[in-house]
Amino acid sequence: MKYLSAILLLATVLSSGCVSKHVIRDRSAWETEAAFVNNLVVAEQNAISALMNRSCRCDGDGEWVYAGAADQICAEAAEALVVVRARWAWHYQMMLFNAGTIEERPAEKAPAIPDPSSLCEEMTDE
Amino acid sequence: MSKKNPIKEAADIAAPALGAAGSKALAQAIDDLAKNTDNEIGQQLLGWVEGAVKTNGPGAVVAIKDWIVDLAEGDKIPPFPDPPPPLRIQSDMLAALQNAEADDKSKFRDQMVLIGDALGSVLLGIVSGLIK
Repeated sequence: MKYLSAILLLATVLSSGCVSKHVIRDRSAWETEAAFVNNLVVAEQNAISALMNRSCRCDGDGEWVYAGAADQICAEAAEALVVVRARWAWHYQMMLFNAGTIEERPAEKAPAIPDPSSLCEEMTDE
Repeated sequence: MSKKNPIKEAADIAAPALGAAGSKALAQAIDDLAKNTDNEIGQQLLGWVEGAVKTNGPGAVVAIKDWIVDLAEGDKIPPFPDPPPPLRIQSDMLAALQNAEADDKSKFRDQMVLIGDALGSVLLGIVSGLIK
């Protein structure tokens, strides 16, 4: 028993001098952080969607326009929105699974991200 | 001892002024390194870097040279470089990392079950011996 304790102590001392590949966090703080980040992402997603709906339209070629002219801000917002909509829920579930907060692992393959032009119809609805 | 790094060498001599020739040489060096990188996520990322060089020239790559070297040679995946790749690429990178972590976690859990079973058998044997 003494021998085992000495080995454990030595291993602890040796490992304490190294940069760990893992992070140990307070569970409550981490889960609250994760939930807050999720709420933030969802709120931003809804806000981007509403603002795009107010301002951004597609032309006949599926390019984003604002007030009749090609618009980079609308194009970037559309790209961010399709990525968030397609992937955030999956990444979030993976975060929770890897942290041991949930038991069920999400599907191994992350959902495909559609082309931003897939939003054209939604943003054109009046 | 540090080994010779083709990306570092190429990035050191590459500059936007080199134009297409510099881009081509750097893209080739990155492609060669990706093929020799024993790291699936690293290969994906280097593929993105190679595409960026072909499209935008070597200037951006020179700026994130250190990050690329860490990625190619390091034991860990460094956080996103500055400027970061497109969100789609970032999401793919993160998905690969999360899946790798989940695989390790599942493997660890399976190992714990095996150890638990083995310990259970040993304990059962001891208890049986005591009862006799």
